[in-house]
Amino acid sequence: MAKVKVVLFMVVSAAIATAAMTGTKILLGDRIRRNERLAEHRERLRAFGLLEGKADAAAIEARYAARVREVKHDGRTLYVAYDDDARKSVRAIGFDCRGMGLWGPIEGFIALDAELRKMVGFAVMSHQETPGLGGRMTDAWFRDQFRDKPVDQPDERGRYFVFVPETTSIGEGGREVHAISGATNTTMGVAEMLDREISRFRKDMEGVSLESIVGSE
Amino acid sequence: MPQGRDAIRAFVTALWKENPIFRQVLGICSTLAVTNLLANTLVMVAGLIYAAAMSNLTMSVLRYRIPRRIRIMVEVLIISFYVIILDLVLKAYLPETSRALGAYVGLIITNCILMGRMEAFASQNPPLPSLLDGLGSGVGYGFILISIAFFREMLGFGTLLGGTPLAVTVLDYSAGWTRWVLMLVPGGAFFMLALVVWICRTLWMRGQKEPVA
Repeated sequence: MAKVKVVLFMVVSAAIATAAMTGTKILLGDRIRRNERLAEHRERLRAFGLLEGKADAAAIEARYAARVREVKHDGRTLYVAYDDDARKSVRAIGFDCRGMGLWGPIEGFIALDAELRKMVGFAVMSHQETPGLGGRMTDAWFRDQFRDKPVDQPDERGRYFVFVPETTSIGEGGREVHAISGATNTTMGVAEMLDREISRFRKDMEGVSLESIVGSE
Repeated sequence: MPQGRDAIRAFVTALWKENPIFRQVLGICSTLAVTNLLANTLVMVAGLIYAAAMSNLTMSVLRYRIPRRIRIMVEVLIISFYVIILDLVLKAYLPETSRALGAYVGLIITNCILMGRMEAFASQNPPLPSLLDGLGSGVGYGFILISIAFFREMLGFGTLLGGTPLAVTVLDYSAGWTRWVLMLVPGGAFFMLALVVWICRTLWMRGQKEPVA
């Protein structure tokens, strides 16, 4: 009888705790999903260079709806960004990418100009790296240093970017970008992801016109 | 009033005399992991104070009802419950902080301080002293972590509260300061932790009437 009582106590305790946690999740679920969608849109806008500094949720969603179009092309989702709300001039094309960091997968977003010759921006959508170390890849200084870097031709080792120590000064227009101090494996994971994904995307897009992408639904 | 006095004594004891870091050497994993940025440390400390206080209170209220042989399972359940609620609230109301801390919020569940205080104190004491013991342990853990984070971030990044709107550049490496990269990695935290434990134990021993081994 004592054993049954013990088991019953555990089952009832677990049921009460689970019910309370599920209730909280249901209560906050909409807000959490809204935050996740907002974070995703904000990161894509930043990568496209369409959002600088802070902006409220309504402004982010309005800008995303006006300037970014999601199109399906060859089984993958591409993001087309426009320079104006009338959507006349294409600013950049973006795509999702995935690589491996030190602790787990890194999900990123790469934006290239319409000719696929220049990096427009890069964003990290999710990662499992150490906060304060590899986690610094979401910092503005790391993200923004890829802007306007040339990607029309990799170097002899297949690299689009050459990572150098944070304290090294780098000139404009070259391949050099700063690595994250104390997070060598994370930096190498990001470098490998960028090289592989940009190379693959450029190859996939060979012979494909911008009009055919923009015209896709 | 004796219970009130007991409660205050429990708070002070947990905060200083039985400080979880430099007296009990508990919660070291997170001390090494999160203290290279002050902002992350502050959120971790707030989360731990809340989880320690609420877990202790719940354990104390239920202490006569929990069958002895499954008390560890119940303690884990109580801690998990409060930490998961905290994680959901952060995701809903402080999404940026939640993203920055990543898995560390969930890892509060494995912090030795929580189970240590529930087992050693809350399972044998009334609710008010248990609540204050949890608060004291959390604050005692917090001030050590904040001291370590202050120096690690300043020497490693040259900033304080970096990554937040209140960020201040204290040591500018473009003006000749060389960053101490060692301070950014967990190995650097060992040195800082050892220094803080040394200073705190020296101060603590001065307050003792008889020499302590």
